[in-house]
Amino acid sequence: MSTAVKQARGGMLIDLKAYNTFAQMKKGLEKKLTSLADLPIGSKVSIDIGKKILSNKQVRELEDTLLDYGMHLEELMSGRLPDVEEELEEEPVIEGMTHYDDTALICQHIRSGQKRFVQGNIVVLGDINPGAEVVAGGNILVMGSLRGLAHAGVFGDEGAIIAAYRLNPTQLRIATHITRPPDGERNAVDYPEVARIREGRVIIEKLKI
Amino acid sequence: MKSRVIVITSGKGGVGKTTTTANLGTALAMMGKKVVMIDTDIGLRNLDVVMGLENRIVFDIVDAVNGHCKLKQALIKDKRFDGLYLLPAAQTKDKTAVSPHQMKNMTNELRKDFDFILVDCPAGIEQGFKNAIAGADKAVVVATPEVSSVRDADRIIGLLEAAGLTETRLIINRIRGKMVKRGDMMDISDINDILAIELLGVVPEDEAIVVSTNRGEPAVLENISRAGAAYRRIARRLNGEEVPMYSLDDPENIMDKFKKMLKLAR
Amino acid sequence: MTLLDVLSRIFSRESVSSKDVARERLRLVLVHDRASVSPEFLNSLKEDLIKVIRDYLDIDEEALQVNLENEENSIALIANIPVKGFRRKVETASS
Repeated sequence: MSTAVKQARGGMLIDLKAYNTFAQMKKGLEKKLTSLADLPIGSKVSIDIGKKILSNKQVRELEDTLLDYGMHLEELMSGRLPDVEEELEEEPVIEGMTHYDDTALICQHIRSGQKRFVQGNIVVLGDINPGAEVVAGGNILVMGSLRGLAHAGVFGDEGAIIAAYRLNPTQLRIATHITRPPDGERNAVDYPEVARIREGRVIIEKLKI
Repeated sequence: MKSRVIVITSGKGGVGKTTTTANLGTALAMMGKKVVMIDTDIGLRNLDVVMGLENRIVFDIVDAVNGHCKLKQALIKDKRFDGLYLLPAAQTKDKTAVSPHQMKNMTNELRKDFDFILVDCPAGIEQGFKNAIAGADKAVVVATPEVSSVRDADRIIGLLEAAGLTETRLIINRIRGKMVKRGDMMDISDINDILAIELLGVVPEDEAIVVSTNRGEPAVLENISRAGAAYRRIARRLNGEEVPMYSLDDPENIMDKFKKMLKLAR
Repeated sequence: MTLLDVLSRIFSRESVSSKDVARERLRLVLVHDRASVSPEFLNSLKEDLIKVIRDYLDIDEEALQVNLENEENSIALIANIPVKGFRRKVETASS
């Protein structure tokens, strides 16, 4: 695949319309810049990305790539304005995770008889004790021990996850799935874990980011 | 057999209502009866942990009463006995989430499927108590041999009578044979004289209760537990059998018996 | 139990067992509790008292007071009945 380079408004225009993914786009840009190594340092470059939408982080990555070659980004030309409603192409750390706009931060222990509900994500800086309930439309992250009940993706998001510094729940629920620890077994691991749905079942694994 | 709705109450907290409910329910199920235990202590539920069923709860009594689920969906099947079920209390609501009228309808619906409906009553004499006794035919009052507990039991017996529950029987819990012998604890007749209701049984103080609660396995499942044995006898009495009363001689006194035999003791 | 308790228990001859103390205290408390369970109790007692006394004495029914009072070791029924005068003829007593 070739990358077109044109003169535009006194600066250089690099056409990256033809690439499908951000990774390819970045690679194509690097290849082009290598072939243009003789341009004076400090040149301004415009990039045409066609109909694609990039997240702020991805734009920053392109800028960084340009800076590596001593160039500045003049303008990012896009056939479409970034739409707020649109899902950003940012790849989440955990695949299949839905984006939620609101996230509540709860800085306290949630004790027996207490219940917290949030439309989006919940982050708890504290423990969730047995008899306490945390219910989220999105994901649940517990920076402490989860010993009570957590229900993520309560509106049916099967991609929702429940992560905890120590995952020792009475019961876990994701979307319409309900699980409980097996009788007589006690979770004795001393590392953070994450629960999510894989092939129709709730599975728990070591949290790796 | 006609099904019976029995409320287990005490007035004072911490005398062993929940332990009694769990053990009697399990003992009746061991006898082949179909039993459902209802935890009416909304906001402070405990019967689920005593039974070791806390991680199976999806729906609770408030969901069932308000029609969020079918009554049968809220019943949790015991992991040991086929005929034993638990209807758990809600933990994140309060006592006013259920009305006495709703309780009565619910217990009546459960009569169709169960021989025994045991209602674990919360401490106190407020709304929770009124809910718990609403659908009951009979009551069991649990008291420990302490002044405060007996006084509260007396008050409860009066309130039960006022509510039309006249068939009330007494369980004296946590009695210590040694202290009774020493004259430092009221004995069965002392309490019986004061409360003047039929005695259903006496349960000795037993450390095995703490162990069994830790494990979520009622003490009646243990053959060596003395309290468990006492509860098994009480369950038979609840079922209408004639069973002699528990003797206060506890195993620690076996040395006394030897001494008596050897005529060393006075 | 403190050491002092243990020692006094060993050396005292007249030791009253604590269960008897408990039983006695309960008896007193319950007499009061049972009476105060119903406010109607005192009222109906008062009405019956008036009914009986009226035949013998002319009393001030409005000012009549009936109460159960806790004294040191007992419970007493205290009735304060202002007498206006004696009745000469006691008709019902003849039967």
